[in-house]
Amino acid sequence: MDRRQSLGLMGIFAATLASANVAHATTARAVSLPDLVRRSTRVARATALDSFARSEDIGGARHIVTYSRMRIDDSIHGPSGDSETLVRTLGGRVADLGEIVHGEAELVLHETCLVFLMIDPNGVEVVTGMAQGHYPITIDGAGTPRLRLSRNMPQLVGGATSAVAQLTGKPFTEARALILGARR
Amino acid sequence: MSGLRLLPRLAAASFAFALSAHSYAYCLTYTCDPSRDCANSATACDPNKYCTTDSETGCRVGGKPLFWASSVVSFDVQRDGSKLADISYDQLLTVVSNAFQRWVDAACDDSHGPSIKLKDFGPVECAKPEYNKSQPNQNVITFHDSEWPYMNTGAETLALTTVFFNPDSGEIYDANIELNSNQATFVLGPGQGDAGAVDLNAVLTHEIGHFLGLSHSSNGSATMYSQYKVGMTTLEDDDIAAICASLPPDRTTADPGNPVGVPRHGFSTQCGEPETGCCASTIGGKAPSSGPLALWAFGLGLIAWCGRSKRLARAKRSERALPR
Repeated sequence: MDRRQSLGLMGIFAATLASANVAHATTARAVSLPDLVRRSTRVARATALDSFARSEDIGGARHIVTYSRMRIDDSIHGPSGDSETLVRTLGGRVADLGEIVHGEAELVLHETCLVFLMIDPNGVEVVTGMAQGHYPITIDGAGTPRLRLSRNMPQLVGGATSAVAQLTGKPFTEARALILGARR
Repeated sequence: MSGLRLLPRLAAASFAFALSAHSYAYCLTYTCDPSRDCANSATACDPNKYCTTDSETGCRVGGKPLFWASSVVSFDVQRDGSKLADISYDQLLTVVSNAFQRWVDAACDDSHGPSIKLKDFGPVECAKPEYNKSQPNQNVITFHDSEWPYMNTGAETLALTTVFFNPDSGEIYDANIELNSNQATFVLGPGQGDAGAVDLNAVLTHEIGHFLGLSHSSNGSATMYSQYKVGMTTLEDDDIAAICASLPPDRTTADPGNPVGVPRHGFSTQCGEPETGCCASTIGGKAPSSGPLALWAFGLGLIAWCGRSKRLARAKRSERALPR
């Protein structure tokens, strides 16, 4: 194998493993809970442990993406044996360049959240419906874990019966039951 | 006027000022890393890097607000328009220009608007929302008729704004708006309700707010509110306060190294060639496996290959140097 061939093979190998698509939007129709569950391959309570940003070709254009390693605290739907998973979101900071996409889920380090995930055509897990599939969990004054609105929600069209309207503010246990109900 | 008579007036004026200063709910976009938040930080919070939530406005703040450094920013409408939506290049250009003009015309005070002018650089071929670090750029507004590049978002995605910026200074380098005409129906009129055709004027007025550095407002009547409303094409007081805070009339503007309005590294109607170079950073603990490692593996392979080539070249030179 000559130099050109080995370089080409290395390039193809890296491009195959690295290329991927991502979900993101800034104006979006509100997604219903049954639709969000149906499109998701995994729904879980999870916590981001660390993250890593890099440049990738997404939909034919270069973007910065962030990979978050997430600990699965409670698997509600989908694979139940995994203790961790890697989730890609659009936007991030790489050296002297930052990129933001209003509407993408922002997975905060060490923050527990309810997250709806789907596998994109390249086998990478992404947040279903962007920020519509992401709900940070905080403990209220009475010690109850409750779902909050994602910080970077897109501008929503419609929404009275949306997952966002149905889940935001709910205790986690109640949201879990709603998700299991929507799954049937 | 005696001091006693002046006092109540001063108090009333101070109260009115305080009320007006706190009645806005707009948010600017900040440079802080969205994956880091002071509320979840085990260690000391670095306000230049970590985000935190403003208790009054609910805005996520930290670092510096994003801004366009130049007083003139160019935009470019992709030349194809949308055949699916039956909206031509000229029609889209008119909607985009009008939407920009609404923001430029905002009255910050009696005689001044925000310190920015938008300049149309004409139709462009490129429909990619990317920023080239070493080649000419364009701030493109484009439809996607044949395929929405982000298939896994589903048909709910209507429009997307991407902003590239300097994470240290907050200077915006590049911004682009994509419209999902492949899966959504856009119209040039007031549009319909939840599931119907969407008003392109309203969508673009909102997206251009992001283009200019604004984030969502919690004021339900604002154009930058996170809920779309039919006919939402005018700027409300909250939006005007936002753009005037982001680009105040009296700020010092700069055109670093470029003629007025020209994007960074020049302007081109064509997309850039693929750019090479390393670009990765770890935010948390250890780096993730699989995907990112592929690039590292490629880099290591490249170094090894280069090393091998140099060794071979040295060996050949040594061979030639040997006395025959």
